[in-house]
Amino acid sequence: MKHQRIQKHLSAYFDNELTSVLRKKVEDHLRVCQECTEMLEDFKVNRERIAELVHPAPSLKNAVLAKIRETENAPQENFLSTLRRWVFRPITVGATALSTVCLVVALYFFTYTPSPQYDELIDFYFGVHTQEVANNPLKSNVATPLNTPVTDTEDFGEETDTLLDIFFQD
Amino acid sequence: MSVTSLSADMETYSEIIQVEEFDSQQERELILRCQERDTAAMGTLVVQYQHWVYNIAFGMLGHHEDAQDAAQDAFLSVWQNIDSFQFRSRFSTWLYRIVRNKCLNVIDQRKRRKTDPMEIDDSQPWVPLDTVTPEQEALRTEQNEILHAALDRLKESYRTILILRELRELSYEEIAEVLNCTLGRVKSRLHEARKALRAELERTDW
Repeated sequence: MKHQRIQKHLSAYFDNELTSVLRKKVEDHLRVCQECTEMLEDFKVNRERIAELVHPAPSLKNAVLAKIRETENAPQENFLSTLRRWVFRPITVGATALSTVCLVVALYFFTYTPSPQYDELIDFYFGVHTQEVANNPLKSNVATPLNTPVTDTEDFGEETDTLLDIFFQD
Repeated sequence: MSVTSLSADMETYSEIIQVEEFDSQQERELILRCQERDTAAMGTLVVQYQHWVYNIAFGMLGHHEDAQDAAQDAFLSVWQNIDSFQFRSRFSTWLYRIVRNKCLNVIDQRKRRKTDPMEIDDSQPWVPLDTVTPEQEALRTEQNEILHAALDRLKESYRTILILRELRELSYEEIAEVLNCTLGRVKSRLHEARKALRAELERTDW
């Protein structure tokens, strides 16, 4: 096994967490590898040093029990106070405002119907007057005016009429 | 640190190391009593675990007051959530997971406040476990400061795993439970953490 692969097992070897087969391989490698031997030695020294980092813990019992009493004696939150706390959180207020704006914009777009004044304004900009176009068929190919009544009967021309007559007579 | 508070700390320490380890049955009974909202039982649990809870928090945070606050909050969380403990894991690993989360909260708050993480508070004295001369004590204190600074420069995940393994001597299985990861991940992360600490200490001519 190569040096790098053995080195990965060094920590587990140090903690005696390897299988006997792997342990044997690491031990064989340690006999010939100075770098890994030094690393193992450093692991040992550092463990001893860290183990010395023990501080006398302050007595926490009274402080913890006081905190427990404080929380136990605190007035229980009812539904309304919980709701109020949630509603007035900055993120809730922001999200509500944003949703309201989105809703208003969406309603505006989906329910909008152009007013007659708006049609006139559009016609004015395009230079086409609805009435003028309706009265003058020559201008009807310029633009299709808004609010043009749809006619049921359509003129397909004399030739088509003749063909239709022949078809229905047969 | 005044002589009075030092001796008070020493008394507390001797009190703590005299606390005998509970067997699992005694611990189970205490937890059951806590689930029935018995504060006296909670007080006993606090005394039993405060030493390691505080030291794990101090190892992760490097600051006495922050460690004390995190430890208190952790015990308060234990009290508030004791009903959710169903004896599926060891109580200690469940507790250390809570401590870790509280410490991560403190680290997050520090990042938001942008305080200097290198600020090590060593107002608490090291525990003189044997009789040492003042020179030896000074040297030890200096070495501990260097080690703490090196630990503090490590990634949080490396620092935590080193504290749990080297300080608290948790098994790989217990560490996996506390960190909520696989055994393989514990093995590889611990190796990386040890290598990183070694590199940090070499950089400071340890």
